[in-house]
Amino acid sequence: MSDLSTSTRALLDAAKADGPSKLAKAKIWGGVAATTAAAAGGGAAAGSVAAFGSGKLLMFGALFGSAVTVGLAMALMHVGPMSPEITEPRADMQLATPRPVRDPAAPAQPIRAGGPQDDLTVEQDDAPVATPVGNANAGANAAPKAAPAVVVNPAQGAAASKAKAATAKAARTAAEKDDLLERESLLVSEARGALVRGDARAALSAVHAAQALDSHALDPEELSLEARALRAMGSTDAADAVESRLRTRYPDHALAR
Amino acid sequence: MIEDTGAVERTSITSVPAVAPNAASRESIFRSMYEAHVDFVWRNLRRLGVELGDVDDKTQEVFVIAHRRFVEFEDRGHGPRAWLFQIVIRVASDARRHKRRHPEDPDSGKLLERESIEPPQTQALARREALERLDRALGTLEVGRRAVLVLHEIEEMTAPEIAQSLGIPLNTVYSRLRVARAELEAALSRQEGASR
Repeated sequence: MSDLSTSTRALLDAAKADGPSKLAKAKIWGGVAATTAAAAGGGAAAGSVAAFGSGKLLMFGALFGSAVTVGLAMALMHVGPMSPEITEPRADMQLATPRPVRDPAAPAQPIRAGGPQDDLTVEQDDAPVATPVGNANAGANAAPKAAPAVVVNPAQGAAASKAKAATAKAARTAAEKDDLLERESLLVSEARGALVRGDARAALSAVHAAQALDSHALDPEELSLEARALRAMGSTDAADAVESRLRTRYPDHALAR
Repeated sequence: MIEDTGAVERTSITSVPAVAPNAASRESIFRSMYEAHVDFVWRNLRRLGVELGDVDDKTQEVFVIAHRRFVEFEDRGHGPRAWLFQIVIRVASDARRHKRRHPEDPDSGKLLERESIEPPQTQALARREALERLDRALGTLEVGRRAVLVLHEIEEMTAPEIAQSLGIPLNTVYSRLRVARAELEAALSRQEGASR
C-alpha cells in the first residue's frame, strides 16, 4: 500500500482529535434523552389506557416543567446582570452633581431658601426635599439641624466604584454563568425525562450532577426531582428529608407546597 | 442483545454491570456508550461530509437510532464502534442527499464555523482550516473508499475490523485503502496548486 506524505499524515492526525465541545455533548445527550423519553412515553401509551393516561400526564408535566424551567432561566439571565446597571447610574448621578465636597466630619449644611439656580436644578431628583440647597458660603447660616437628604455622602463615591467593579465583574462572568445555567437546565431536563421513563437512578444521577455545578438557579426543581427519584427508588425517609430541606429553603416556592 | 458486556468492556465502558440489564441499567449502559463514542460518531459524521452546522443534530439522530435498535445490538468482536459506524454511514448519506436536494444554506455553515472560533485564536483557526482542507479533499473520494480510509487512518481500525464492520472482503479493504490514499494525496495536491 502506498504511504501518505508527512503533510497528509499531519492532517489526519489533527482529525483524530476533532470532536464536539463538552457543551455540545451535553446538548446532544439532552436531545437524545428527550427523544427517547418521548418514545418511552409513547410505548407506555400503547400498553394500556391507564398507562396512556399517566404517561400523557407525565409527558405534559415534563413539557410544562421544561417550559417553566426555561422561563425561570431566562428570567434569571435577564434579572442577574441588571442589578449592577441599576445601581451604576444612581451613583454616577450623585458624582455628577455640582455639590461641594465636604469634610465627612463637618456638620451637615442646612437648607436655605433662595439658593443659586444651579443648585435648584441639581435638587430636582431629590423631590421629597423640595427645597433648594445653600451654597458653600451658607455655612454662616448653618442651623443646628441639617437636612439629611441634601448631605453629600462621601461613601457614595466608594459605592460608585464598587458598583462599577461589580458591573465589570458581572460582564466578565456573564458568559460563564450562562453556560453553567444552560448545563444545569439540561441536567434538570434530563432528570425529568429519566423520571418520566421510570429510570429513577438515572434521574438521581442527573440531579446530583446538576447540584454539583456552581449554578444553583434551579435548586428548588432539583430538590423536588431528587425527592421524587428517591421515593420512586423506595427511599421514603431520604425523600422526606429532601422535601423537608426544600420546604425549609424555599417555603414560598410552588414545589414546596 | 445486551449480553455483550465483553464488547462494552473492550470499549472502555467499565461501569457496565455483568448481569442481564433491566430497563434502568440498559439506559445506564446506553449512556456509558454515548459518553465513550460520541466523539467517534461526531468526528466520522464530519469526515463523511456532514456540515458543521448539522453535525450536532445528526449525532443526536445517530444515537436516537442506536437507542431504538440497542436491544438488537450484537457484538461481532469489535464493540459498538462498528455497529455505530453503520448507522453513521446511513445518516451521513441521508444528510448529503438532503443537502443536494435542499441546498438552502448558502454558506454551508461557514458562518457557524467562524463563530465557533471567534474571537480569533491563531492555533484554533489553523486547525480548523486544516480540517476544512482535509474534509474538502475527502469530499472528492467515493463514499466506500472514504469510509475505509477514515476508519483506518483516523480511527486506527485494522483491515479485518473494517472488513467486518462494513461487511466487505478483506482484499476489498486493502484495494480501497490503496486507491483512497492516492486519491487523497492527489486532491490535497490539487488544492495546494490552486491556492498558489
